[in-house]
Amino acid sequence: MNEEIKLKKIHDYLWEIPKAGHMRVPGRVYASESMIKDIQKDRSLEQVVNVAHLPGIQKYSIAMPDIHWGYGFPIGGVAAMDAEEGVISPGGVGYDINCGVRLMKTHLNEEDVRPKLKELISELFHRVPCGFGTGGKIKLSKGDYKSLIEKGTKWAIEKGWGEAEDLERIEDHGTFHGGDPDAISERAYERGKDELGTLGSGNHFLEVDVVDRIYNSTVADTFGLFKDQVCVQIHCGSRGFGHQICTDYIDKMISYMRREGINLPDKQLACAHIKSNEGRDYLSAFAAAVNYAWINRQIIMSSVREVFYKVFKIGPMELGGQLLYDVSHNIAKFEEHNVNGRIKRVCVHRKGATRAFPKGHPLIPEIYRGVGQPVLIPGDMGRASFILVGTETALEETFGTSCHGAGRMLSRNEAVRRAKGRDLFTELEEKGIVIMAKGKRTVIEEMPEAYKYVEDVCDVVHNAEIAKKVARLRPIGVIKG
Amino acid sequence: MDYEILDHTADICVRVYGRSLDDLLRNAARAMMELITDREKVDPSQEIEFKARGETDEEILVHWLDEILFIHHVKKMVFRNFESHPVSKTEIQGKAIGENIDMERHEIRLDIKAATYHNLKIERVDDRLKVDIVFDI
Repeated sequence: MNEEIKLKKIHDYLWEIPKAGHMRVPGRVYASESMIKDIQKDRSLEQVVNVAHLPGIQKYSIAMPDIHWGYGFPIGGVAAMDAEEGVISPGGVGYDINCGVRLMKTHLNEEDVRPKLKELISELFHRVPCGFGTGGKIKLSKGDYKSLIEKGTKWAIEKGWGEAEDLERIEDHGTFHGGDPDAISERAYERGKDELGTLGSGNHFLEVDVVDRIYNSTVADTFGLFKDQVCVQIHCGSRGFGHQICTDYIDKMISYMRREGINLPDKQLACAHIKSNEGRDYLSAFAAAVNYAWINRQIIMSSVREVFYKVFKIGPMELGGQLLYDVSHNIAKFEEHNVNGRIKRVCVHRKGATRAFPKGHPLIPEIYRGVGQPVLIPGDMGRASFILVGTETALEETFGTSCHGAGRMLSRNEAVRRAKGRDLFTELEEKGIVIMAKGKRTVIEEMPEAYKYVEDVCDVVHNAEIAKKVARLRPIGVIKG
Repeated sequence: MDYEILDHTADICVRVYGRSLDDLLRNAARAMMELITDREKVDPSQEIEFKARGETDEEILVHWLDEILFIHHVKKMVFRNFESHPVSKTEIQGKAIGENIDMERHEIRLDIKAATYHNLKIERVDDRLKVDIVFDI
């Protein structure tokens, strides 16, 4: 379907879509030769082109190797807008504002955990609410909302969900400033009031992994990773609160565009100038959802720690349940970047893409400043996930950004067709992976072969040097909504 | 055929037909609900009224579906059927007929976050209206 979109090869892992028509900048896609052929089969390159039309976009409309067909922006899309003249696009962040991943390390190794793995997964499954309509135990009052919007993750720490040192290991120390309770609709409050500490469904998950390969021992040491170490990955976002904020503001942006006479190839790219009232209001509501998502992952991690204490009859010192890092992969951030030789303040939209800042960057925690920022790339539930580290090349070429996951390859319908007659639960168990899920259908739709192999995606990123591989994780226990 | 499910890599796309805008809205709501659960298993015992407004037919359609999703999420209900009556060119009065979710009887197939405007265009094909809707999952 994308045959009419011409691609120019820049190097083995980078392709350019030359500027044409009303594109303001060229497109750039990170992919191997074989991947690019697959990418051309759906409409994701057309979406890279569409994003290049947004007012104020700088340098390139960029796509990561896990790019796939989304709505508006492609998933795996990156676009930096001039902070003064440019626009903010709620669709460029996505409905699940601040969807992201965190990884908790432990002092345990696979041998310690295997004998009690089933009990561990079962306890986690019962402790962490997941699936549609499963509310959490926390009921938020308007006062709670006001407080959490202002304080971010600090609010959760004050309530006893975690330790102060966790804050050091979250982007922006877990607090996104600028939230305004008045910029949020009653509907968003309503949807979010009982969903804190819940996983949700779809591609969200909680996973127990084992470090099975180290690629860079110096960085792994700094990250506190070792072979056979048990880790836990948590992937989720801002739940109904964020979804509703996105829904509300896409409408406001559509009215704004009509009024201002802004025409874009796809209405889902709806945007407003950052300096407009609509732009400012969205950013104030968005900030609240960013905090909500961090708190959500924080509460889940706190539950995970407690489950480990209970199942293994150990305390915090023996568990060593320390956060490695928490990354946001549906986000817009104001950052300073070099644009054609000038340092410029831009708003970087990362829609299914992860920040990957290099060593020495002031925005990464001091503990990692000597090596670079941890980049967490979850794969599918049957094969692997990766931990990478940010690089200088990423800062130069991609506004300090890398990929975010494996990227879907099959539609949900196709996954269901291929799974016919198979028992995926048994297949995973035979590979030593214990899985518990609310919906059987979710497991089918999320089956490993529905995704590109995450190692292929990470190899492109590694070879293009927009992040470097540090360690590989192998799943041993999975919880799905 | 009132609707069919199309392939979309990351999310879900449905193609919906209707004789008029309000017929299209009813069919779109049924298609969406069929993605969420088996409508046949929903008892039509409760009615919820709502309104959907918009400057264009496409906006009315997205607002209509988002209204139903909001009720589904917040009231934790599923629906078997829908009624729609035009109030004006920019407003539709709607009714969703169904019941509270009972996890024993209702399998929730998909948790749909929203209906999107992605490439959304209501077209007239012969004597019918046709639209492809992408939902965010």
